[in-house]
Amino acid sequence: MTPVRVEVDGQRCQGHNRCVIACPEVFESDEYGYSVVKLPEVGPELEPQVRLAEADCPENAITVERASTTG
Amino acid sequence: MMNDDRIQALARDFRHHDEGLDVAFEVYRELREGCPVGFSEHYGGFWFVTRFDDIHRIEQDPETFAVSPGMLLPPMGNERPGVPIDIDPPMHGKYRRVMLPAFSPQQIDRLEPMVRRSAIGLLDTFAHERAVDVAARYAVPFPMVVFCELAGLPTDESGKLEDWINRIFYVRTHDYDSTLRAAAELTSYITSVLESRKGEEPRDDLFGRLLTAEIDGRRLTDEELADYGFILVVAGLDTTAWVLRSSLWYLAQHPEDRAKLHEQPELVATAVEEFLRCLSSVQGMARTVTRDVDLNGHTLRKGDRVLLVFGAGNRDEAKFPDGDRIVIDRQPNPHVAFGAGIHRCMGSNLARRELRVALEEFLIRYPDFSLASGSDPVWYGIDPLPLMLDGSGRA
Repeated sequence: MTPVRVEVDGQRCQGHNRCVIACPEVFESDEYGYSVVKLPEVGPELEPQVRLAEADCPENAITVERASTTG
Repeated sequence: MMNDDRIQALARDFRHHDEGLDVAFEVYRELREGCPVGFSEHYGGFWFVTRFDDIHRIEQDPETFAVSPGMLLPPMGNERPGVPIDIDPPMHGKYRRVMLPAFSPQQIDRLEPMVRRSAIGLLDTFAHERAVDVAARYAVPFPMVVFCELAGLPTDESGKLEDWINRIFYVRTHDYDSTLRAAAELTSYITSVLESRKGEEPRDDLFGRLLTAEIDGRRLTDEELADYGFILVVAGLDTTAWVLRSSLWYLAQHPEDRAKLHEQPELVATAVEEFLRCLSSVQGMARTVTRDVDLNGHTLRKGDRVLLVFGAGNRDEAKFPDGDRIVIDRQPNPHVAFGAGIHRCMGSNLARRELRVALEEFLIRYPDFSLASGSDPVWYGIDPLPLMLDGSGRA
């Protein structure tokens, strides 16, 4: 399985931190509590958690996409 | 036609306080279905929005749906808008930024030992009792103890704070004069606390942060300090107390969920989200329409008030399958108990942590508890919740 690419839209994120709870391996929060992606490419072992983070986000700020074969 | 009349009557009589809460969940269901946007005659007249997607859309459009003059309906009696809750952009974001680091997840991690100690300390006070009103002895004092520690306030004044907050939130629907007086008294109390600290060395607590905060290269004015301090005090006490009480109310009546949480304490975190989704203190927050706008076939006029009924949106089946059922390991759970958009509750990380820790510690001591015999407490508010802590009460 190819990895997935994870992004947080900084304009949409309001600091709920649901993603940090769902998948602390991939998301962390900055000093104001806004989400930052620390691991943008995620393998299959963490994919369920980043999918959960995406679905848990009340702002729809997270996108998880199958990375292209070249990327 | 008959049904339509009935729905219209439900809409006109809709309210998210007092007796309205007795029937809230049935009414939400009917309104989401038959009248997703409607107009209530209570509290001076207001539009309400009950579907998740509509609530969400409004939260993402703060230009059309402003918070000024206030987010609460009815208002909480403060003379000037609360900071930052009742403030619109551009000042809103600047105000938030000065306090956000105090409520960041990293900061809450550092506070967790204190939060846990506070919970344990209160549980110890009734360790030898079997019949306990856990609202008065646990749910209400717990956020108070944590907040006083966090804000740098003496806990021996918590009785005064409790009284003011009670009159600000629970009396405003029927005795607004009392609410006005309470808000004025609380404001002058906060002013005097802040005043007394101005000459001191800056302390590392919430009020210390306020006193040293800068916006656009200047310190906050006395009025800004008082209006920010007011919100810090009122926002996180009875709100958290309510959800802790309603969580215990639910668990007292659901032995299977109690057992599950006792065996798998890691599920307390998802259970907390579920209690927030279904039994939360903030059932709705209001906006003011800044220009005429259409919403589901209704025209809302500039100046109209509109209530975002979070409690209804959080049970919307279009977003949450089997939305009226509490499923303690529900995932995903993107509820808006803390609102969404730019006004997301600033204390949400703290509230979540307090609830998780308080329930964890309670369940460690009391794997089996039940409502006291003969009691029939309502799900909402902070009124007594008498429990039998050995499970010997009501079946």
